[in-house]
Amino acid sequence: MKININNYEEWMIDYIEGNLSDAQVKEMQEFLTFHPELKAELDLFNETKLQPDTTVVFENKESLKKAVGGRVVTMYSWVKYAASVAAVVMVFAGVRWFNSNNTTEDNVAIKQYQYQQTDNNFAFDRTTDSIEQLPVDNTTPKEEKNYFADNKKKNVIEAIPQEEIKEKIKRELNPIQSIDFAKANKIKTENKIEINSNPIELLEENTFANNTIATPKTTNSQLTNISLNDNKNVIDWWQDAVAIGGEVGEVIEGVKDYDLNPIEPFLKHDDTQNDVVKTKNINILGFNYYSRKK
Amino acid sequence: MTPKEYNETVDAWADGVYRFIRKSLKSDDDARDIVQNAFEILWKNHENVQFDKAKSYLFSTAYHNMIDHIRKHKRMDYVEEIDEAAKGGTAEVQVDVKEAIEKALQKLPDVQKNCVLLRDYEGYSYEEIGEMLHLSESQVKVYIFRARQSLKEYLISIHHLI
Repeated sequence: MKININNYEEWMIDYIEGNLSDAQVKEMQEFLTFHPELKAELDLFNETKLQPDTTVVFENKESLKKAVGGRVVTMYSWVKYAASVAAVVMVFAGVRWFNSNNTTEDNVAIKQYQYQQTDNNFAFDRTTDSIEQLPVDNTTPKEEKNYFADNKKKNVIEAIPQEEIKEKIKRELNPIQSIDFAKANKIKTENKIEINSNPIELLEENTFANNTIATPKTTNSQLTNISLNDNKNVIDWWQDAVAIGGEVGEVIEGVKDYDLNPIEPFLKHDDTQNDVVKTKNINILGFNYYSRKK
Repeated sequence: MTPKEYNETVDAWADGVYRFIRKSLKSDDDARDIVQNAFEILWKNHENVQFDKAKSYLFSTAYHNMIDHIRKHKRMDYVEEIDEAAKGGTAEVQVDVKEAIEKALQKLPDVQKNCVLLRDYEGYSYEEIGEMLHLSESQVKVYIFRARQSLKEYLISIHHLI
């Protein structure tokens, strides 16, 4: 649009703003030759161009400056590095904990089996305690089950000389004997053991047939009312922590609880222990652990 | 932007941003606080701000800090009609044109004043001003146009009084 008497202000502002082309500047100058009374107005527009007051300064600029030289490590970087390290550690620990501990719902306990043969019988020893020192489940008094109610089975047991049992145990078991997956699987597959919750029947058919089934039955009085599953104590948690560093083996399914637990025959069973358990073998520094969940 | 470049930014633009802020605030101390705060924000983000963008980042940060400050202290002072204000309060004659312009500038709406200050003091383009003040380019042009019209009208009124 050409400059005219109605839009000349816009042209003048564009002129002082520097928005006009050379041709437009020439056009405006020609327009002013025809309207000299408007030149004073152009001068006023020129005066609206603000000039900074250079006497106004920010005093003590040095206070705004930062140290130069050396490596500047911001707090953000530290936080970033720390967060990265923490995340890696937490993920690693979490995975290992999960693998070794599973969940409380699964009632998994990692237990170390150390069997020491004493003069009279096997004593379960996870630290240095004898079996008598292990915690006893008194919370729910149970009626002691008489495994020798069946006279026939009782007779079979009695038919095995006590001295023979001891010799067998001495020969087959080391002072510290561990049970692992391979041996347990061997029990199950090669010998085709019909897993039964009754340790007496197991004893009757397979007593000492395999060296991993340590079922040295003695007398009825040695059936101690102990449940390992129900008594997860400080030692268990300590062993859980140790086991974090171990190697986790594969999961066995369909193995009875006491299949891998030679101490089981010493324990009082109830029907709920017929449940199939899943077992993981964990070997730490030569010791075998297993975790299990029903 | 390196720490060295940050310090160069201090040398180059601390005065300019201070003048810009000082035009809208009555208190020297308030203006200093806002400038210091803007530089602190620039330093905090200096690794993410390119050196050639430091100036506009600084002015924009200071401007928005100032707006927050004004809102906080309820000093928003929009004067739409400068000529009316001039007619009502011209007991003393403004002979010095520069002083007259300064006075007229304070009576402009803040958005017009800031647009024309950034344009004249720092030579920013309409686009750059729009980015800093969160306005469109055409809005900036309109505000500057209105500001110059108002300033010119104020000067005419002064000349008439003389």
